[in-house]
Amino acid sequence: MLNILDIIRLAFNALRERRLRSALTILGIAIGPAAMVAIIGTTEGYMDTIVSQLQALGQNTVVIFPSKNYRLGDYDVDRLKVLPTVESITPFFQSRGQLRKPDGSTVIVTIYALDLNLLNKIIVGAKIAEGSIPPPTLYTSSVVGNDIVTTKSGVKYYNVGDSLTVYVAEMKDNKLVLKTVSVRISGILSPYGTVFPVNPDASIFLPLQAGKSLLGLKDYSGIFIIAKSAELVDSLVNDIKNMYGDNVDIVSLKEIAKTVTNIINVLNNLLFTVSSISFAVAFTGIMSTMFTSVVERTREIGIFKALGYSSNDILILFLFESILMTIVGVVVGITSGVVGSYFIAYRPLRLVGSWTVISEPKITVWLILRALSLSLLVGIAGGILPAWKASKMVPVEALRYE
Amino acid sequence: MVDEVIKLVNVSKVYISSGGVKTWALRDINLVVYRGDFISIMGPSGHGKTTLLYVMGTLERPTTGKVFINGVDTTTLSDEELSKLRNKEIGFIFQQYNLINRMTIEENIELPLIKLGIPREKRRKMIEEAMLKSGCEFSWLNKRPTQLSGGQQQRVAIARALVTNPRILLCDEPTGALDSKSAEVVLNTLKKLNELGHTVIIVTHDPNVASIAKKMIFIRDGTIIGEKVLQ
Repeated sequence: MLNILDIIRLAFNALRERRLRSALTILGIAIGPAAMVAIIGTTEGYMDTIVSQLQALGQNTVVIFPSKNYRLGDYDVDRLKVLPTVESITPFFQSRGQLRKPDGSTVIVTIYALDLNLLNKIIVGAKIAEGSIPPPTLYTSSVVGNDIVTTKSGVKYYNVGDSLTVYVAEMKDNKLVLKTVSVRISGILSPYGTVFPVNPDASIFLPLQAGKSLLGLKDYSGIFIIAKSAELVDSLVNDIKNMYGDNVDIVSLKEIAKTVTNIINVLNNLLFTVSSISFAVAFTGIMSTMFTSVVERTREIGIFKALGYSSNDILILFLFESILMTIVGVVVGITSGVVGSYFIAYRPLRLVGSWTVISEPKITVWLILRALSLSLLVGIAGGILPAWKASKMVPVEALRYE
Repeated sequence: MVDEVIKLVNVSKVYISSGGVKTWALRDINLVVYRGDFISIMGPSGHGKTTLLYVMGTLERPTTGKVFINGVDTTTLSDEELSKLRNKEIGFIFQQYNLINRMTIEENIELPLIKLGIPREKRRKMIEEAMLKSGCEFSWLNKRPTQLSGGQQQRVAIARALVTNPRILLCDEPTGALDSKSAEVVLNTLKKLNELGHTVIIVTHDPNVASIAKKMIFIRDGTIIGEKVLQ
């Protein structure tokens, strides 16, 4: 049995002799793991962020929106709150407005009017950083998100007690008109980060009464329902479906998280398949390089056999050349994949409206091992046939090869 | 029996072409080579000299018959066992030197030692000893074969064949590609090695080369047609 260090040295010398061909083959090998690590690392990073954002909104939360011509009112709230699976419930009004900041810039804000006492249940983890939640009767007082009171650079220019003027679009006589709404800041939320479907940082939360009195809306935009536990969400959704049929659209955040996870898993499998094609290219590259090498070195194989090297020794020496190229290719590929994934993930992924995801790529040991093992498998599979052909050469014929 | 280094019993070698045509390269060869022999095998080109050498060197298996090396029937040995036997007991010297051009002289001579499993730190000394025996200069160690003349390359090839200290040296037209001066140096080296105890067998069609051996064997149409003891 040959010494492993000698095998590596002989294989390295043989590869060094054909520098350009070896380098090109290594490049071909590197593409597979690079694509796999970069693409899957990035999508898994996004998946984690998206799912954790959805989970942040509360797995117990179900939102219903009216569909077709159905109008949601107090009657619906009364019907729903008696369901055994419901812990708490609040209807809400939703509107969009434009806020002109003191520096002259304008931002689009979302205005919600709802039971503010349920705010931290609907948006799990939302905290009042300053001030307090206003009482339900003070419908011109609000809790505002952090982006409302600060500039992009973080400079704060609104404080608790200040007033905001927001231009809200309103339908009047079938015409869209802009209405000026003034609200007082009663509480300011801590920075939260964008989550779907609510962006707390760019929202103004008013007491429920403000929907009608201040925003001029007649029907509820939707109803937030908090189930007693996450396990009861499916049962709650079924009850609502039985009660309303197609009259309402039901959004269960638990379902969304599950669906998003499923979609991303399918996407991941698809990307894995696509990146596997690069491995097939590497396989043919290694095989072609090694077959050429075997033919070119036929006489050398004969010399080795005359000097006492067995067929197994020849097989190992040639196989090691492809393994060595694969190892270098994998190191180059995984390194470029990691760098590439950070480069891709560095750019924000815009999903819906203002829902933008910025995520770190998820480079796991499992992902690295998967890329490594697949590459080695490809390296060995691509090298074994040429190595076997080399080992089976008849020494006398090999020595006579011109 | 101990002195029988190589023994061929009824050895025949038949090549069958892809069209099924049989060509007899060797027919019923019986030959005994004793320790310390210096034999030259003479004959016209294409009459089986090289095949006989390769069969004796276990590079080629006979179609029928037995080949004994140091009393061991090599026709029953596996590829791995034959390789070990070649590595330790047999040194080949070819007409075209058969050095590997991408390797240095040191790396070329080192190759049999790698297979033999000699630790790296001991190899250099063995390489230098083989080089001394074959008349090589140490300044060639880091050179490539293409940087040496034909005669120098053949001396390196002899050093590579000698490095594991094999009992048998099989030479296939060792001076065929050399000028007369280089050929003389190589032949003197082989003579000296025989005097040191190595069994040397040379295949040649050159009577002058054959005449340095102690014994000449004549081969025609794959059959030994005569022998002549010279010394």
